[in-house]
Amino acid sequence: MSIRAGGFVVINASKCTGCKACMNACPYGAIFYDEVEGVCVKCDLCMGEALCAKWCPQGAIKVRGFERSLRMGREDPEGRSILGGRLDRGYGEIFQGLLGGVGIVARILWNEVPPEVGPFDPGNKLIFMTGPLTGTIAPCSAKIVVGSKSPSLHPVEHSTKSSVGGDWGPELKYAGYDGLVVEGRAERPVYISVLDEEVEIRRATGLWGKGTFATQREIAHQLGRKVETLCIGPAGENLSRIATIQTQTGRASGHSGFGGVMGSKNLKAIAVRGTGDVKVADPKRFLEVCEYAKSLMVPHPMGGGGGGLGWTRALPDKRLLPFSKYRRRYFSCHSCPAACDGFCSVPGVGSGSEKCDGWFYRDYAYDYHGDGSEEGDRAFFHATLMANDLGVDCFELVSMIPWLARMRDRGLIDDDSIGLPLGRIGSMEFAEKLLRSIALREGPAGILSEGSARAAEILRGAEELYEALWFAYGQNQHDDVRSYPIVALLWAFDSRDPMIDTHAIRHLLVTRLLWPEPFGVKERERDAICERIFGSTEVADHSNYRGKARAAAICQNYSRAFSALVLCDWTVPIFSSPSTKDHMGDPTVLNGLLSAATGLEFSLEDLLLVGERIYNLERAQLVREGRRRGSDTLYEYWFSNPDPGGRVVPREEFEGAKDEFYATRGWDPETGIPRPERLRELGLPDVAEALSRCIKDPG
Amino acid sequence: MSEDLILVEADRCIGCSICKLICSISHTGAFNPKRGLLAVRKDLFSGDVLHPRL
Ligand code: SF4
Ligand code: SF4
Ligand code: SF4
Ligand code: SF4
Repeated sequence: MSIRAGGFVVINASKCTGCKACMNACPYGAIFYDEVEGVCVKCDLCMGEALCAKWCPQGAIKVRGFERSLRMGREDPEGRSILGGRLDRGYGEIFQGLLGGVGIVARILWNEVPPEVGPFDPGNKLIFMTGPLTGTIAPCSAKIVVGSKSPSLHPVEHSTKSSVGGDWGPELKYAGYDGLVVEGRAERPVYISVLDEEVEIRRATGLWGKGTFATQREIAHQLGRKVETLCIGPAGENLSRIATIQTQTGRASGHSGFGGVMGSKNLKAIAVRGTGDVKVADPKRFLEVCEYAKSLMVPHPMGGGGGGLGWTRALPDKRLLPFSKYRRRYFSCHSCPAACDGFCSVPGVGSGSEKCDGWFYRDYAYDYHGDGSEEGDRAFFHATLMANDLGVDCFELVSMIPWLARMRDRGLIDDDSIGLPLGRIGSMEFAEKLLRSIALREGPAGILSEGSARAAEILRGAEELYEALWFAYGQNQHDDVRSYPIVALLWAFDSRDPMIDTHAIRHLLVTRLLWPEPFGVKERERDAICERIFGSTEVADHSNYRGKARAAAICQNYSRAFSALVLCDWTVPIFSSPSTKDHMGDPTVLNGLLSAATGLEFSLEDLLLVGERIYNLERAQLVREGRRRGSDTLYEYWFSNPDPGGRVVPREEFEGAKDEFYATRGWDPETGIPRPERLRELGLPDVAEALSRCIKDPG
Repeated sequence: MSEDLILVEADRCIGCSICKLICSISHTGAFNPKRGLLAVRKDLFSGDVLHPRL
C-alpha cells in the first residue's frame, strides 16, 4: 500500500497477499476484498474524477475537495482507462436470432412444452431468463422474463410470459448464468440456492407456509449471505391460479399465475448470489449510449426532478398526496434511475413497497373510513402488504373487488354464501378475510383462488358481471378497449394482458396526454412521435380503426425486441421522453446498446425483425395449443355495451382490422395461422414444418 | 494524506447500484457491483440504506 502524489492511498495489487489486515484496520470500512482477484482494493477516487458521483442519478454522492481531485486526476489518467471485453451470449446455436429474454423463453416453450402438458404437470417448465443487457449499467435493465404454461389464462391454459424486476436477474448474471429452467417436481418442499458455481437444492421444510417477506429473510439467514431471492407465498403453495412469484417487498411476476406453477413443483424459492463479472464488447461506446439514454430520462423526485412514482405527486389526487407522508424513500431496480417503488412505513401496519398495482384497495379503504383518515391509511396499506406477503396478484384484485361488490348489489352472493363481510368492503377485516381465503383456499370464498374467470363459471349468474370488468383470456383491464382501437387490437392478438410490455405505447397514446409536465405530452408532440415510429399519425386518431392493424404489429415488434434485451417498458424512453424539449424519445438506444454490448452491429430494423420473429414463435405456440382467428377477440360485452361516450367496439371494423393485421403479418386470414413461407423467411423452418400440420386441421 | 473522501447521502439513495457499476467497469473493465470500491447496501425490508463512509 502506498500514498501517491495527490494523496490517494492506493493498494499495489501485485504485492497484496489478500490477508485482509488493512480491511480490519481501516476505521472507515473503506477497504474491500475482491473475490475475483483475491486481493484487497479500495476507492482511489478514480484518480480524480469520481465516476460514481458523476453517474449517481440522485446526486447522492459527493466528493469533498472534488475540484482539487479533478485537477489531479488529469495528471494521472491511467486510473480511468476502460478495458475491453466480450459479452458471453452462450445460448447456443438454436437460439440464434432470438437474443435473450422473451425470445429464449418462446423458444424453450416451443421446443420443450407440448400442448398436452398442463400448468401444474411436472412436465411443465418454469423459465427465468435474462437478456444481453442484464447486469450492465444500461438504464432499466434489471428485469427478467418468466415463462411457462399459465394456470391463470382462461379458458385455455396457454403458454405465456411475465416479467419481474428488482435485483435477482443481474445477480444471476453475476453468478455466471443467463437463465434458469425448472422442470419436474420435488418430492417435498425445497428451495434452490445458486452461490456462484455452487448450486444446491435444499430442504424448505421450515419455510413452507411462510409469507414471502419472512421467507426471504430466513433464506438469507440460513445461507449466511446477502442473496437475492425469488419466492412464493402460501397462495403459490396452495396452487392458486392467481399466485405470484415475489422478490423484495413488492416486485412480482404477477399476472400469469406462475406462483402456482412454482408451488406445483414444490419449489419455495430460488436464492442467488453472484460475484463474477459481466462484460461488454465495447465498454467505451456502451457507456456513451447509456449516458445518452439516461439523458432522455429525468432524475428521480428525491433528487428534484420527478420519475418513477414522481408523476403521482403532480396529479390532483386527494388520496395519493396525503399518503405520501408515510413514504420514507424510493427504491429502484438494479441500474434504473427511475425508482418506481415508494417505500412506506405505516405505524401499526408495517413497511414495504407502494406501487400502482398495490393501490387495489385504496379507494375502498377511503370510501369506507373517510378521506385522510388514519384507519383508511392502515386498511389500504395492510391490504397491499398482505397481498405481497401471501403472494396474491394485486392486479387481479383491482377487478375482483368491484366484481364482488356488484354481485352483492345484485343479490347474487351474500355474506353467508361467500363467507366474506360484504357490507364492510374497505375495512381491514374484509381485506384480511378475502386475501386469506384466496391464499389458503379457506371457506366458500376459497373458490376465488381459482381466479375470477373460473369462479364466475361456478357462481351462478356471475358471468355477465364478470365480463364487464375483464377483457379476454381471464385477464382484466388497463385502458378501455372501446375508447382506444389500438388497445383493442393489441388485446385481440396476445396471450394475455398485452400491456405487460407495451407501457411505452400506452404512455404515448393514453396516459401522458393527461399527465403534467415534464411527463405530459401535447397532442402536437404526440403526432410528431407517431410520424417517426409509425410513419403516420393514424394510430393516434381513436375515432376509427384505420391504420391500427399495421401500428399494432409495429408495437408488438417493439415490445418483443425490448423484452428480449430485457429492458423495462415502463421507463425506457424509446417513444416519448420527459426530458427532451419536444418530448421526442429515441428508439435507436435499443440497437445502440445491443451493438455496443455484443460487438455485433444491429440496426433498429434488425432488432425489430428479431421482435417479429419472436412474436411469430409465440403465435406458433398459441396455434399449437388451439388458438385460431375465432379466439382473437374480446368478451362479447365490449361489442354490445357502450362506454359513457356511447362507443362500443364496432364488430365489422374490428374484424376488418383483423384481416389487415393477418395480411401485414403474412398469416392466413381464415385461420390466423402464420404461413409457412413467412416463418421460413423469418428463419424458423422447423416451426413452419410443424405448423403446416395444424393448417390441415383448422381447429 | 489527502482529505478527499467519498460521501454517500444515504437519504437520497435509491439503491440502484449505478455507482458500483460505473466504478467496477472503470477499474476492472467489467460490470460487477461486488468489485465496486464503495458499498451501498439496501435493506428492502427495513427501508434502510447502509454505507460505510469512504
Ligand atoms: S491484504 Fe491489505 S494489508 Fe494485506 S497486503 Fe494486501 S493491502 Fe496490504
Ligand atoms: S467510482 Fe467512486 S468509489 Fe469507485 S474509485 Fe471512483 S470515486 Fe471511488
Ligand atoms: S445506489 Fe449509488 S448511484 Fe444509486 S442512488 Fe445510491 S449512491 Fe446513487
Ligand atoms: S421503472 Fe420501476 S420497474 Fe422499471 S426498472 Fe425502473 S424501478 Fe424497475
